[in-house]
Amino acid sequence: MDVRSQHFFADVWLNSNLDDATVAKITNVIDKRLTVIEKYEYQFEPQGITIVYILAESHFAMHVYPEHNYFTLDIYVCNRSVDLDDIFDEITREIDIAHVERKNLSRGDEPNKKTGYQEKQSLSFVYSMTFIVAACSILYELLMAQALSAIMGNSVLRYNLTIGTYIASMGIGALLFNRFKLEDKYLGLTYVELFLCIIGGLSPFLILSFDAFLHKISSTGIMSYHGSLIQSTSFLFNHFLILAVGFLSGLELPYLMSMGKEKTDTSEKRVLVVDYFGTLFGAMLFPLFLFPLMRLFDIGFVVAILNCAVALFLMTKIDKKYISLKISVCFVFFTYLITKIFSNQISNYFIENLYLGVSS
Amino acid sequence: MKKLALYEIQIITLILSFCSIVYELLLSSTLAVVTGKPIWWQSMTIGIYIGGLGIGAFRAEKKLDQYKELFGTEMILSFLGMISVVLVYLAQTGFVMTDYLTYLGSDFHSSVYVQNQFYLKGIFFVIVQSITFLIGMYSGQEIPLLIDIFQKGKKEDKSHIILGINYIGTLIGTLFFAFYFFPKLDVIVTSLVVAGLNLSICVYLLLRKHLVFRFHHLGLIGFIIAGIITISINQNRVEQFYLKVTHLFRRIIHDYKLSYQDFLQDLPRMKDVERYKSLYQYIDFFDVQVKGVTVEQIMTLDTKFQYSTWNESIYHDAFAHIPLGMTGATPEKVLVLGGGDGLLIRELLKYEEIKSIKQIELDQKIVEMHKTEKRFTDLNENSLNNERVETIIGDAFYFLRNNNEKFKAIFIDFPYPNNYNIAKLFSFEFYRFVERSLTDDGFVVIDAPVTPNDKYNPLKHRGRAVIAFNFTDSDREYNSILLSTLHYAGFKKFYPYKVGGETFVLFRKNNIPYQYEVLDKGNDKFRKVTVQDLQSIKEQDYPYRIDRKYINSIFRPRLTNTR
Repeated sequence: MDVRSQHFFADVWLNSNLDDATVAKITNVIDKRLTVIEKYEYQFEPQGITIVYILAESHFAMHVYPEHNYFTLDIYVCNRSVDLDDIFDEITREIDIAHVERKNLSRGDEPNKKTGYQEKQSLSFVYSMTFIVAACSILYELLMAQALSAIMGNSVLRYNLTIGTYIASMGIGALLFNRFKLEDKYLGLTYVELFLCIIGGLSPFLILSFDAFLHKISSTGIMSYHGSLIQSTSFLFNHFLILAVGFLSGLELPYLMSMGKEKTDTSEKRVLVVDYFGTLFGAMLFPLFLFPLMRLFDIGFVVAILNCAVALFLMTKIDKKYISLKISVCFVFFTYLITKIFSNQISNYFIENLYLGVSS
Repeated sequence: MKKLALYEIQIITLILSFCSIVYELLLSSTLAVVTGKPIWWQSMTIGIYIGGLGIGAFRAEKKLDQYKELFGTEMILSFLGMISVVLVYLAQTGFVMTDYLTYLGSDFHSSVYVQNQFYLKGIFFVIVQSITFLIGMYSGQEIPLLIDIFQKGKKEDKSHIILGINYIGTLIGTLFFAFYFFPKLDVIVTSLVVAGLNLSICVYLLLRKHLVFRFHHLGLIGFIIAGIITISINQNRVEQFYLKVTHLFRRIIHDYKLSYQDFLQDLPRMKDVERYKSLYQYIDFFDVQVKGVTVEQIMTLDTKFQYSTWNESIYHDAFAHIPLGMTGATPEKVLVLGGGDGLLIRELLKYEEIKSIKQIELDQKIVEMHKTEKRFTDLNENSLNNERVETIIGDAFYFLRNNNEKFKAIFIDFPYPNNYNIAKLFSFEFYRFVERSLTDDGFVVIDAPVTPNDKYNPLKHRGRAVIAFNFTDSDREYNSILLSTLHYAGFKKFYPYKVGGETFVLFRKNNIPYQYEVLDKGNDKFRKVTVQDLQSIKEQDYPYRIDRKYINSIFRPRLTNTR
């Protein structure tokens, strides 16, 4: 039998007189929302009431101090499905409250060491994933900002616009989460990470190649590179990439937060905390360490490999029938690994032929 | 006690995330300019801010009365935001003064001074970054609090809505800051406006009776309003104090042998520093006054020295006449990148064979000032309005990448690379574009931070402490980076030279020897550079190595430390 239960406490001060009618309003709500088996009530002299109900769910107790316009209340139910906060909110709507101290305590979590250990392990799994994907997201963004300033100039403006677009698209991702989410969180997150590491890791290449392509078109003399058609196409394409990466990153956090919530309520917020630290890590790593150490393209590969590793981990948690997804994740992972080995040759080719080789 | 309606929570989330990101951007931009090391300070600031967000979100667990907590958080945030910029200014002013005074006072080995400076930098860091951290931490508490308030009584998990709105608020903050606050409003004014916005949330919570009114609430709000008013009245004074000390304290005490007591006495009577803000940088223009007499006028960009009316002609003589003399070139078409002050162009216009000068300058504000204001057109002899000169406002990198025209002479005058944006203008890719825009017999001259192997450098000998100066490995590496980058971009003959503390590099594609006669006798175009100056160039030695590993590329920058 499930012994997990919840215990709700509240200390309440009222503005108006705490008369019998008010007490009745409170007990009526309990009558209505919970299953009362037996009622005990004791009136003290000269004033003060203690009320205790035996409930099918467990018990309800209330101590009234009319001289202070103050009462205490506790509700104990032996399940986690009844929303005691909601019941208390209904009570507060009936009466005129000056001040409330309230607390909802979860009781009966088994002290079984084995499950505790597993819980801890899967939580640290969620935390480390959050840390890595948060760092990857901000790194993709910085990569794209740098690549954009290489082709469009005016770095300050590029960084501002990139950060702006990125954060907004994360917002859109988070807001539309319900429309896009899959019931199986692990499956959903695997898809997100797979797309993210494909687009994000290749983004510097995509941005440079598309620009070279536009240069090529303009060199045939059909239209000018500086003309509004080519410029706006370039702008739309590049910002579409940023939007895509931002949108996918926006879907990540709600998935991870709900994975944390599965365990305990506090771990949901801790996921948010870890996400901040991952972002912090990525934001400091790029300008101080990664960028002086390796080429922009290499950074893209390394980040994508890391991101894909998360997808590989997630893959172990999903059902066997998604075999094609699993194969794609492995394929992307190994392709990136191989590309990383030859990245020097590849980026030299790109810089010489696609970046430097163009002029309008 | 009333509860917030859903739309109210959403609007509050939007406003609070807006305020929070603006504080962060304010601090990081102000610190980047004030310290002159943008990469390090911007990364540190954003890092400490996000770290603070994390710790704040962590601390926000299990709060009983969310409204009270939200009210307290907003009070603290509006206080911190209100003092943020002023504190950075005052801390920097204190740092500059104490630093220079310990320098003057240290009658002992320079290592003691260096050690003292390290501690001072540490104190400065702790003062300014604790504000960043606290702003981050209190902002981090907001989101979990708002999610709790929003979520109360709801079965379904809707926390992603708050998260989404938070992101959108951050976006609006970023854009507002980039396009309105930073270029249009002063940083102090911005900090006050945003602190006021934060405070208005507190007032709203109280007015709509979302928490129990206590008398001290009124006191707190009154205190912040009084603070905002006091700072806004004194903001000019604070800014001028900071500007005068950073620009003039060292200069006047060192160059004109004044005591610091005299300096502080003179301070209120000194002419105000004129500060203009363009889209890209702070342009400061000020008089150096000794005992009420103006001895020179100086322009700085983001507090980095640009020119002084006292000695700019030495610099521009060396920039224009030495290369033209040494190559014996008579270019018809000249390209000038940067140099919006028109002083280099003034020298170039002395050559009648130069038929057209095309100039690319990023900052429209500088060009406008030097084109229209009399004190500047007197200095540059109205060069920017000459019909031989065409000025294009734009990014030189972008211009060259898409340029097909060829020039016989290219003059490049950029700030020294201390961030990735400027390092781009010293990159392999950039010089490849330069190479493409140069005729085969043409030449290029850049104003670049190369270091000669001098035994003794008088610039490092200031005050009483002597900072030992030797040519170090890092100097050699820096020279190697600059020259290897040029080498692999396709240039052959480098000729680095130094005149009056400024260094230049002259280079071209072919191997034709330079004509050294100009260094022996000079020519009639020189105004301030003497034959002795020219002779000393021959003795300069610039050690460097050519290797692929030194290439500075936009895809892998290597030039970012401040010189």
